[in-house]
Amino acid sequence: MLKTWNVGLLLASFLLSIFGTFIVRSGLISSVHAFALSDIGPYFLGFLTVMLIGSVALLIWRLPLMRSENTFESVWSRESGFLLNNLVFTGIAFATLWGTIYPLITEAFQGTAITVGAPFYNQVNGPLLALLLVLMGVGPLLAWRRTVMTALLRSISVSLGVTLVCLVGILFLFGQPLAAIGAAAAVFAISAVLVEYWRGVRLRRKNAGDSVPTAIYRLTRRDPRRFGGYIVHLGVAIIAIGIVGSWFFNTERQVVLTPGQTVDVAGYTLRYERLSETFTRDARVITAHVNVASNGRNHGPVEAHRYTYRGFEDQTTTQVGINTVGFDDVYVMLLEWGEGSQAHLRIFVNPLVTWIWAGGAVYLLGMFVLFLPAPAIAPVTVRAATRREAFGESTAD
Amino acid sequence: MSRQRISIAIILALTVSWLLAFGASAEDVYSERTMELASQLQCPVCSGQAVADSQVTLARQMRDVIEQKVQAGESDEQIIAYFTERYGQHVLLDPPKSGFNLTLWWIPPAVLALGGIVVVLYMREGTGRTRPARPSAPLGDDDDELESLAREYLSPDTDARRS
Repeated sequence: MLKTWNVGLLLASFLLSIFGTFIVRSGLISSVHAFALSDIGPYFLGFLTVMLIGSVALLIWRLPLMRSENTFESVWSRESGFLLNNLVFTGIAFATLWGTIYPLITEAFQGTAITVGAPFYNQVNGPLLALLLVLMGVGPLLAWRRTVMTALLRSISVSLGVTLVCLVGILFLFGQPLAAIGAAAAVFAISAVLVEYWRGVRLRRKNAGDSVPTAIYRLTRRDPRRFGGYIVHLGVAIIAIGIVGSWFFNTERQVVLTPGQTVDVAGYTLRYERLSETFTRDARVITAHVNVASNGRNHGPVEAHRYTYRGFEDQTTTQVGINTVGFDDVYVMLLEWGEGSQAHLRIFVNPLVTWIWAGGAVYLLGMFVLFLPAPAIAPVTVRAATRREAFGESTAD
Repeated sequence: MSRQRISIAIILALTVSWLLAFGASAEDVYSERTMELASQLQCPVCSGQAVADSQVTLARQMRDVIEQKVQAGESDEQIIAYFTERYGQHVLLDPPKSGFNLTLWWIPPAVLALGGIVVVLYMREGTGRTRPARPSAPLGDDDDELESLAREYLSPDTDARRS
C-alpha cells in the first residue's frame, strides 16, 4: 500500500504544480502571485486533463507491480510511522488545495467570492505541521517491522522529559501557549535524533574504543541513509524553531522620524540619520539611512530604499533594509518621506531568523550525507542462538 | 566645585536630558489596535494583500480611517462591519466561521479523519495475520546492547526490501 501511495503522491505533486501554473496564468483566482490574464488558460486546462488521465491510467496499469510482499506486522513499527507521515502530508496538501479553490466554490454556490487568506492556512496547516514534528520525534526510535517496547519507552522517556522541560520553560518565561507547543514539538524531534546518535556512539565507544567525534563520523558514514535522514530531520526542527521565534515573538512599529531621532524597538535603538537620493539607469532611489544599536553597542547601518522607475512615477517599489544582529533580524521599510527629510518607517524586529538559515544549512548537510554511497556491510559474527532471539525465526536479510 | 560651576552643570544636564527626551520620543503612526484590525482586512484593489501591508493609496486611506475610528472609541466589530458594509464579505482575510463557510474549515479535518480511518483499517488487517510461531517475549534490558549492535550491523536502513 505504501508504494502505491508514494507513487500517487508523486503524480499528485506533478499534477498540482501544473494546476498551480494554470491558476496563476489564467486569472481564475486573484492573488498576489497571479500575474497574467492571458489566453493560455484553455491550453493549460487541456494539458492538465491529458496529464491527469495519463497518470491515473499509468498507475492502474502498473498496480500489480506495486503489490508489496511484506505484510504489515505491527502498529509500533517504522512502516506505520511512514503511513502516518504520508497521511499528514496528504492532509496538508489537501488543505492547501481546498483553501486555494474555495473562493471558486463559494462563487459557484453563493454568487459572491470570499477571500481565503493567511489565517485559514495558519489555523489548519499549523497544527498539522506540529504533528509532523511530533512524528519526527517518534519515527527514528521505531524499528522496522516491530519495535521492542522496552527500548522504545526508554528512549521516548528521555525525549519526553526534555520536551516537557522546554514546554514548561517557554510557558513560564513567555506565556505563549501556541509558541510553546510548536517549540516543544521541534525539541521533541531534535531529541529523538540525539538519542539515536547517543545510542550508536555509546555502542561504538564501548566496542570499538572510538572517541565521540570519530564515533559520530563512523556511524554516519556506515549508514548514510539512516543518519542522513536524521540530520535532515534536525535541520527541519531547527527551521521550525526559527519560524516559531520569528512568528510569535516579532515586534513591529510604524513611526515618523526626523533626522537624528531615535526609536526603541524590542531592545534595539534605531537612529534615523538622513535621507539620500541617488539615480540608477532606470530609477530614482530614495534611501533612508538608519543606524542600529543595542546596549550601547553599535551594530551598523541599515538602508531602506524606495525605487521610482522612469515612466511609472506614481508607483514606487520598496526595497527593504535588513541588518542581522546575532539571531535577530532588524527589518526596516521606508513608506513615505516628507519635507524636512521626515521619514515614515515601518520597523520589524524578527527574532531567531538566523536559525531558519542555520536549519537550512543542516538540511543541506543531511542531503549531502544521504547521497553518500553506503559501504559494504562488514560481517559480524553473532552466535546463532542470539540471532534467533533478536529477530525471531529468521533474519531480515 | 564652585556654586557657579555646579549650577551651570545642572542647567546643562537638564537641557541635554530635555533635548534627549524630545529626540528619543517617536510617536507611533498607528496604534497597535489599528494595525491588528488592518491585518484582518484585505485591501480591495490588491490581490490578497492585507491593508496592514499594502502601500497603495486606498490602503493608506483605509488605515487612516481605522485609526480615526479607533481613536473615536468604536469597537472592533463596528469597525469591521463598516468595511464589510461597503466592500462586501470578501474584504475580510479570514472569512466568518458561519453558514456555508463552515465547509471551508471542517472539510480538511474531515478528510484527514477519513484518511486516518483508512490507515487504521489497513493496519488492523495487516496485524491480524501474525504468525503463531513467533516468540512473544521481548528482549530484556541487558540485551539492549546486543539488540542495538544487531540492529546496527545486521539491518541497515535500506528501503529496497520494504514496501
